[in-house]
Amino acid sequence: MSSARKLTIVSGFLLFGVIALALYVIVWLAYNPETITPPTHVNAAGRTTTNMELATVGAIDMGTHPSWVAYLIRQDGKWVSSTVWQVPAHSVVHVTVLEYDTQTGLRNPFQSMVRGTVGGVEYVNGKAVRYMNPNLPAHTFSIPELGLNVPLEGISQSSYPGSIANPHNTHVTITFSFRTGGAQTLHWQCFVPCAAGYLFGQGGPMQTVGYMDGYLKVVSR
Amino acid sequence: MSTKRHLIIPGIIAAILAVIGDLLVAFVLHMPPGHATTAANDDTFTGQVFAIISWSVGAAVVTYGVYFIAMAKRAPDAPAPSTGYLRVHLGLQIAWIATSVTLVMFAAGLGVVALEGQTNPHLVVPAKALAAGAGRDPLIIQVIGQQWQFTYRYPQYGGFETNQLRLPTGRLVQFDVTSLDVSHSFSAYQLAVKIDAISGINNVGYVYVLHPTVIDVRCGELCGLWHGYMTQVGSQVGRVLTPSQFSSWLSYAESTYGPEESNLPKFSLTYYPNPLTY
Repeated sequence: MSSARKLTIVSGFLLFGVIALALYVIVWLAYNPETITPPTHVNAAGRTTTNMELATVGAIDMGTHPSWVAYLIRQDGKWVSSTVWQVPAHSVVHVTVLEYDTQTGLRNPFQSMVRGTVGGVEYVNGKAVRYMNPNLPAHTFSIPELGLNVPLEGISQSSYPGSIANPHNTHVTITFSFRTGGAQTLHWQCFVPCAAGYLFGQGGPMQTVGYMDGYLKVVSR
Repeated sequence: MSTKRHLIIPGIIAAILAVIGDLLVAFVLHMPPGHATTAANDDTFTGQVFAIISWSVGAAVVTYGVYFIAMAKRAPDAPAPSTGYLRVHLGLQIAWIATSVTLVMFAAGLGVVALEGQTNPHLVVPAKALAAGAGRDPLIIQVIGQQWQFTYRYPQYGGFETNQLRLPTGRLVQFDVTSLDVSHSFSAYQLAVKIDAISGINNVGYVYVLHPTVIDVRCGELCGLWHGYMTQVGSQVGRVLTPSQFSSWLSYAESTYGPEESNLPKFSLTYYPNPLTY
């Protein structure tokens, strides 16, 4: 093999490697979902708490898939489309969910039981709930690795007036608290098969960060 | 040096290496998955046998290879060896083929014997597990896969469902495995159990647990984007308990999860969802 041919082959491989590396970097930069850090407070006793305000919504024409159901998080008074959140380790997270979506029902009724919250309870419009009729949830907020599962009661089909943009919209207010444990990256998800139009209701938003799945980054302070 | 010595010297080195490695495999190194169940015992034994064989063969191949490369190195001014140097050695060829055939036939025989010992004529209940649990009905645990969690029902105790896998020592356990959506695979490492979870299908597996242990449960089938998170390790790890601990846990579980039983569907071997419903 001539030297020129060898040089051509080596250069080709090098060029291919550089292009592959550049593509990798571009994809990595593009897939870098925004991480939201909710406000954290340390009380007089030194205990850390985080207040997280979420909303679950139906199709609200947001993001690259305007017809998908999604979680939103409130940051500085504005609703933000992000499902990657950061909270302190060994702290208590107080969560408020404004449930704007309609009731779908669970595939596995077992997920209608509140588990892993402080006191094993959630509050639906102020009323303590430990078990929910499995037909009522619109979504769940679940972190299987923590044993956390909170069914989120949806608004009834008959009272659904529109979207979150509608100031007269009705919603269900759900509150609960949970402990974060040590530093780790947790996956959270919804257990209601709420991906309309997908087989078993499980594709699309149910498997996409930014909609019905996300990460909870538990970080050391 | 004579040809015979060139064969004997690396042979002795390989034998020493093989004995050291084999003793380590047999008595020092941990061979997964352990000894928690009869099935795990069998898997561990099989792993040890194959590790000993492969280590011995590997030691011989590497030792002879390194030795011959080292010895065949010639001085820069020495004449190139003739083709006769690479002549066929019939004895070596026969020895090599005989050794390979012996090892392969041994492995095949071991597999046949293990298969025969593992299953009854209907290939349903592992004979060893059945023998160990003779005289008692098996504890039935239904494993339900769903994206992305395994849950468990105990139909002999009211049919409650839980996300905690608990089972007792000294009892035959029957896993009935199904799925609510896509295909999963119930993989309980320390139990040496891996059973596919398929919607509309009830796959059955048996295990006889010998010792208390933790159970790392993972999904063994690529089941979607979050397949990698379909695990029960750390704080959610499964556990094998002593019979008395298991009784205590049953009381706790029935009181905790029992109130929800009215919400659950009647116990069934499958819960096939209608995909057009959604």
